Amino acid sequence: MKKFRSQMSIGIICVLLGFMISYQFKMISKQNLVADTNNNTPEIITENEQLKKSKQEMQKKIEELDAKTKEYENAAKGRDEESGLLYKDLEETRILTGGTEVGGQGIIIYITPKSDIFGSDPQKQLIDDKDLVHIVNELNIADAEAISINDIRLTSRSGIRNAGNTIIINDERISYNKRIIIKAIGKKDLLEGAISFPGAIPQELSQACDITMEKSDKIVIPKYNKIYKFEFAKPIEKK
Amino acid sequence: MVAFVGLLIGVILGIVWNVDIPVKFSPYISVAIFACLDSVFGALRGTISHNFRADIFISGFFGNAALAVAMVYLGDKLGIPIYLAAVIVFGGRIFDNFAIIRRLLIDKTKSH
Repeated sequence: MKKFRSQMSIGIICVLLGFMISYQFKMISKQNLVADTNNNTPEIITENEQLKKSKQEMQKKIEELDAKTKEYENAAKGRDEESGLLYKDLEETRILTGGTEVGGQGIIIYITPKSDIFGSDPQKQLIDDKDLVHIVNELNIADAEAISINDIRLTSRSGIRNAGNTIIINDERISYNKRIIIKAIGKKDLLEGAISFPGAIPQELSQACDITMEKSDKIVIPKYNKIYKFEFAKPIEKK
Repeated sequence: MVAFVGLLIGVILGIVWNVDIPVKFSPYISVAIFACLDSVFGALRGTISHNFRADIFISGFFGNAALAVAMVYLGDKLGIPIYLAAVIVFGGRIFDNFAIIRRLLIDKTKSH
């Protein structure tokens, strides 16, 4: 009787053990299945290529249309004094909103990630969104008139933030472990002073990357290619 | 024999029965399995050396599992992997027990 009971207890416990082991096994294999879903890289690469191509074509179209508007504008501004003034106003607003390509003196900052001696880990994030925001902020304080990061024009409505393994600026993605070039137009000595001031460049960034800058008289910053839409902000008329 | 049949039933139950244990309990189950395996090896050794006691086996089975789970929980809260202690101790004991089982079995076959 005693033997039977002990045998039974062992049997029950073995049922329990078997259940736990097989359940855990199932669970782990399920987890691995979830992790395997991002294995279709070739498809993504081809899609990426196609999208790049269509982007280029659209860019071309935009340029054509821009040229056409320019023609109309030129025709219009010659008509009388009033339209000439209007045109001048328009150009200023465009510079402010990033709607036109601008050039002038300023500085270029190169942020080059240091390569690790032990082979750099491609997943490691070397440049943080906050570092870029910090630098851009410093440039703005130093009266920069136009700023671009990797030739993406920053406007008053640009956001910079990490998203997955990229940094998104104006819906465009840049890699956070490749070289980043920040261009700023403004008084070049002032800009240089602001950036070389201690603390202007975050310490973590200067540890992870080589940062060099270069003053130049001929910096070209491309225009912002999107159209501003104001859905919610409406001017308030004061009576 | 009973143990084997029980294990088989358990495995089938685990595969067929779709109970939902939340994923966050997964590490607890892993450590509990280890603790239970340790008890089972202990029981095997006890059976072969003829000093197996069911009450000790059962209390060890549930007690070890509970202690291991508690350790995982505590480690989770304190931020140190205490469960490693459980894994190392149980792992070491499994090997110890296996060594003794081996010796006993070999002695048995030699004496025949």
